[in-house]
Amino acid sequence: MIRIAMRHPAALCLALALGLFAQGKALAASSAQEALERTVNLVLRELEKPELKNPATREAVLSKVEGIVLTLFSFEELSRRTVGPNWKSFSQDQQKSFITAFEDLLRERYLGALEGYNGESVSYIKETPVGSGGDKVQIDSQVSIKNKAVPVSYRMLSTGGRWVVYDMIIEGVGMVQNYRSQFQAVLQKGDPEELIRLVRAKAEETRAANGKKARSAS
Amino acid sequence: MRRPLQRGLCAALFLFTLHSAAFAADAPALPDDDEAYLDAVAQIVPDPLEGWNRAVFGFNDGFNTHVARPVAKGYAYVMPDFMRAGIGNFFYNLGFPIRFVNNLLQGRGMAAGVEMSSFILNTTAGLGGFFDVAEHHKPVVEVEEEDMGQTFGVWGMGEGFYIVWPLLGPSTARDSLGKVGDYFLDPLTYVEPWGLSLGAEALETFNGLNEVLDLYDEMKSAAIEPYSSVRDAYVQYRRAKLSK
Repeated sequence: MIRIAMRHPAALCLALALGLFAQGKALAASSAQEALERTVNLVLRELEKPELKNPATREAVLSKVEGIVLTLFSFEELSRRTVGPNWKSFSQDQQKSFITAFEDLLRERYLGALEGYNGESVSYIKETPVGSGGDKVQIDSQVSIKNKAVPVSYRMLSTGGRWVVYDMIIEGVGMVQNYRSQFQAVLQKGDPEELIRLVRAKAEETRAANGKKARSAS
Repeated sequence: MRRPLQRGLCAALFLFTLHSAAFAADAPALPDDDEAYLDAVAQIVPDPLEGWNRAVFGFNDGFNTHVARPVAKGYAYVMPDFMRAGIGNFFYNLGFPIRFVNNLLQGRGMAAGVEMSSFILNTTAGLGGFFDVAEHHKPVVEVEEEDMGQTFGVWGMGEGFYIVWPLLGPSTARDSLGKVGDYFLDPLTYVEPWGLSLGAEALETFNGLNEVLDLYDEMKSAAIEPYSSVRDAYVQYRRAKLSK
């Protein structure tokens, strides 16, 4: 079974969030990797501030980090890919609502984990092109958590002159593919509205759980 | 707490670093993933028993919440951390024949050698496997935790269909068959009397239970449709393991 993650389940979540923070040296850095690293270094600088450990100032640090991280992800791309072929059957309004709800869910799930940041480090391993179009790459990295190495890969795509993340693969499990299998199951029975409602509800539920964790920690 | 895996990963990281510096330009492109979202989405694995599987999944979920979790909490409460780590190491070390034989069956002689040396070191210097002393030695090759499901995969057998077993959780036809094989390679199977064998297996299970349940809860709390999420994650994870 998933041995590393099994022994440190919190690690899994943290790895997702921390996949962005690199201390390793980039090899043959492409513009995609540069974009990843630039964001990562900004985030790391914030997370290493003592203010993160202080309950009074933690919120400010986290919202700054959030602002930085969000520039690296394309939530439209993530939404299109997770919904899959059904995306075309969504009306424009439904697409917009979905993107907002899904962004909210991912933000709550992964940024919530950043509060547990504890000096974890990331090394980049390699970069491989995806497809033959030259506009997509996969960047493999390894996040060290409590001396365990968790493999995290990013898929990035060049759009509108910048590189954005459109998928993450942790311990071999792709995020887009995993959500897609769930959304498929929902859309087989329900309509887009039902899916949007479920994603919103899950984001709310995660927010409530994060709030509870933050309160008990401080 | 462990194990050859990290040491292997460290070594792999180093090797990859050298490799990718030298061969970055020649790396073959990964398959494009655009089609997967543009066209009809195929389910990751056949699931002809979905009705049964969902029922068992629901049963396991209830069992995890109402029986396994309280037991795991109680166990973690009475058992000091270093004892849990030691017991975990002990059982991992004892599972050596499974990893060793499957490495050999897959033609991974070097990895089998690494497993063998870790086993000898931990059994002797590690006081019967309670301490993972081999963790601090750098292996010659990366070792993955091999099992018979993977061996069958290496031999070319397909996954077959998805199946959820009561208490044991998600699996595929191939991995279920592999579990049967691993059962016969597990020294605990041959402990006499059978009551002791069962007790030892129960201890092994309880010892790692909290972590398994944490992972399960994390997946469940993140999922909109937990059944599909777990099915997909299981198959993706096993495929990634097999491809290594």
